Amino acid sequence: MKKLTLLTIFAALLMISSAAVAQTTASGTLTVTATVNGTISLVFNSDPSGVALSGTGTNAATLAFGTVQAFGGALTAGVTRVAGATSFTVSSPVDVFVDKANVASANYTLKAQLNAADAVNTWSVGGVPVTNAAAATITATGAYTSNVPETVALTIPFSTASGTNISNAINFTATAN
Amino acid sequence: MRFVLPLLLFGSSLMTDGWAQRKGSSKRTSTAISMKSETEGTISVSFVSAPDGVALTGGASGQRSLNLGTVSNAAGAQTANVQVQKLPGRFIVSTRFGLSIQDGSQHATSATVLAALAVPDSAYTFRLDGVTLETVPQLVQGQARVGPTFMHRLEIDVPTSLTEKNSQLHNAILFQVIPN
Repeated sequence: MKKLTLLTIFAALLMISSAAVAQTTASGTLTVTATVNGTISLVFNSDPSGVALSGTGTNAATLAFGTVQAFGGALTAGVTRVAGATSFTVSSPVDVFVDKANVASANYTLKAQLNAADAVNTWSVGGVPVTNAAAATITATGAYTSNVPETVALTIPFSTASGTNISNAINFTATAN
Repeated sequence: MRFVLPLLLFGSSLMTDGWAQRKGSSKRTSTAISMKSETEGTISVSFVSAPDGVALTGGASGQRSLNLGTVSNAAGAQTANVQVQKLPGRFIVSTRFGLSIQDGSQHATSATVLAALAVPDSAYTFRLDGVTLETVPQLVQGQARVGPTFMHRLEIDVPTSLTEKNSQLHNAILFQVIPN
C-alpha cells in the first residue's frame, strides 16, 4: 500500500511537472535559406609611379594625361613621354585590381576595348594594341587581389593640330578562368 | 503532510481524467474542457514580416520561412530589404523580422527569448541582434515584453573563400520562450 502511495505521488509529480513545462515554454522555428553566387569585381587604382586617377578605387576611373606635347614643356606627374620620328607616345601605369568571392577560379583573363573608334591616334594597354573593333586580351593569367600595373599608352602623330582635345574610354573586362 | 495532500488530490484527479477517456463519454467531455483550458494558458511565439525586412513565407505563425534569395559579394542582394555589407574576406547578409510572444492566460508580462541553430554550420556564422547563434540555445532577449512585436536583426557572415560547393545556405533558428 505504501509503495502504491509513493508510486502515485511520483506519477503525479511527473505529470504536474510535464504539465507545468508545457504551459511555461513556447517554441518557434524560423527556417532561413539563401543562395550565394560567386562573383569577381574589378577596380582601378592609381599606380604609385603613374598619374593619379580620379575615381580611383572604383570601376569607372579617369586617367587625365593633361596637356601633352612632343618635345619639352612640363608634363603631368606620372606621365612618361617618348618621341619618335613622326609621333610621340604618352603613357602611365594604371593598377587593375580584380577581387574574387565565392569562386574557385585561380586567375582571370583581362580584355580591353576602345569605346569609340580612333583613326588618328593609337592606343595600347600593357603593350597590347587596343581598338574598338574587338576586345584585346591583355593577360590570360591575371592574379586576383593584387594591383596589377597595366601601362596605358596613347600615341599621337606630329600632324595633330595644336590644341586638339583627345578623349576616349577603354572598357576592361575580367573573366574568371 | 500539508504539502503532500494537495499534490495527491491533484494527481489523482489527472489520472482519473486520463482513465475516463477510455471509459465514459461524459468524462471525455470533462477532459476536453480541461485540455482547452491548458491550451489557452500556454505561451506562444509568432513571427511576422518587418516593414523593412524580408517577407516571411509559409507555415503557421510560429513556423515561418525567411528566404534571403540570391546574394553575392560584388552584386549584393537581389531580394528587397536584404542588405549586403562588404568586408575584407567576407560579406554580411542581413535583414529584419518581427517576433511576438502571446500568453493566453495573461499571467506573464515578460519572457526570456533563447535562440539556437537547428544544425551546426561551419561555413556561415549566424547572428541575431549581435548574438552569435550555435546549436546550444543563446540568450537573445532577457526581458521581452509579452504582447508587442519586437524587431530583430538577423545577420549571416558569408566568407568569400566559400565556393560554389557551399553556395546553398539552409538552416533553421529554433526559438524558445520562457515566461519570467
